[in-house]
Amino acid sequence: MVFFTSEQTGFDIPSLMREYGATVWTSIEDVPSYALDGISVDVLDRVDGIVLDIANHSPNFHYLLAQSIVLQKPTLCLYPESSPPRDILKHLYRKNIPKTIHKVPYTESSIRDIIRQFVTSVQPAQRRTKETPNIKFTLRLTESLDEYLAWLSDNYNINKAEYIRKLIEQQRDNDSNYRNA
Amino acid sequence: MKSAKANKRVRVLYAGGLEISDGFSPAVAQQTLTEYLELQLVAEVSVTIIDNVTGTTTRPGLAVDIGKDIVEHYGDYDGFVIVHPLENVLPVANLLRFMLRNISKPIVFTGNIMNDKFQDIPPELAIGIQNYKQINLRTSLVSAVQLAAVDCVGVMMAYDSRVVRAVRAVEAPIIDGQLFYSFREIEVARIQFGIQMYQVVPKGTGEPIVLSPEYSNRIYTATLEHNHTFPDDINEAYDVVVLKNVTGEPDSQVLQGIVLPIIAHSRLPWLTEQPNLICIPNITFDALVAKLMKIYAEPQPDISILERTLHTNMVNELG
Repeated sequence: MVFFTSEQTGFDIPSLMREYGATVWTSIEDVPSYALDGISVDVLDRVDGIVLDIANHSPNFHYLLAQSIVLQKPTLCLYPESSPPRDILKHLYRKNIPKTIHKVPYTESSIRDIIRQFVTSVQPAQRRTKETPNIKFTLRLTESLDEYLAWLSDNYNINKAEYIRKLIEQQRDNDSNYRNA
Repeated sequence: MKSAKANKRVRVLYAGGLEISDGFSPAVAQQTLTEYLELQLVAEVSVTIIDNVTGTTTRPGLAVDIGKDIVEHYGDYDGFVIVHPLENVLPVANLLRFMLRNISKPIVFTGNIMNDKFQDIPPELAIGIQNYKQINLRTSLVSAVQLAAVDCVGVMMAYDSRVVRAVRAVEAPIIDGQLFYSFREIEVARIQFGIQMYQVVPKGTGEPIVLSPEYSNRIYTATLEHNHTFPDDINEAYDVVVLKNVTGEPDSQVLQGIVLPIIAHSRLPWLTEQPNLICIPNITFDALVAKLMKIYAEPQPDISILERTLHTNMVNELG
């Protein structure tokens, strides 16, 4: 997943994002040549998401925000909980601002979680394809296991196949051996 | 923190390129463009409809209309954006540049990068292409407004990520992955995560902007291919002939009978003994034609004076 941010904010946001598996571009020097090829209006079109600090922003901030609105890129607009930038927030709460623009106040203790949630919530197009369940898998169960699965499905309002997929996903996400393989 | 919107004002002049499903009307075009721009924070923007040309119907007089509007509103705005179809934008932008003197603000041409050739598309792709065109125009507008709100000066092309001065803009082959390249000078700017200025901003003269709207349409242009024939009335109907893509001195027989000045636009200089033939290698073709349209707004007495004028910068068009 590729993100763009130029913000520092007193926290090293690019490093925080990289901790959660993001590729981060902070300037044109970070952009590989394949992303610069071809006719495009801005390299922003090549990223999966954008992180901006709307209270302590870079000179190009207004331009970046405008383009993220047009391109409907998932955009995290951070601001300190103690000093919200009212002018900009008033603009961002207008009804025709797309839902891809997320306005989130942060504190020193919450910034890490906010970044993690945003990075993990954004899925690039290829990952969306990879995460589509389109591989058929036959699983034989005992009667008692099937009864349990049926009870889980009724009580958690989720179909049996989806429940099993989620179990495997959780296992995978917590499996450090697999991540490091 | 104060929004940039409170500081800068940009005037957007629409001349063509917007596709409206129910047919064009100025009111709908104005509303559409205003909606496209209302969410941007870069500057306060006003939208005015000048015309609705396509790439094939654009006309030199459009440069006059645009120039008049710019001069009339010059003091009220920090920059100007002209929305024009990509196709045939260079003749209009170049003529505008030669018509305006004492420019001290940015005048930015932009628009959709998909030209009129992309009309015959299969129905199943039509919606996707339409969406792409709309997004492309919107992102181009945001970029152009940003450029019009910074400290840069001159008439420039901002259709993709490379911003070049109109009088130095040359259409690039599609394989190059860019729309224009800059003839013998660095680009004005690149649009990559914002605007990166490359050129030093020239100081304004402090003089008021002036529009000289006169121009001549009596310029005959041709690419000298095998068996090219000139019109029988060329000496009466035109003031000057401009030959494009000339690689060496043309055969004198081909030019026989033409008494007008003949300007050969060539990549490299070469000498000639033909008395009415001038080789000009250090200017773009579109800038050369626009320059001649301005020069011939008045009768030209002598080919030697014409040659001297062509080799003299009017708007820093010579490389």
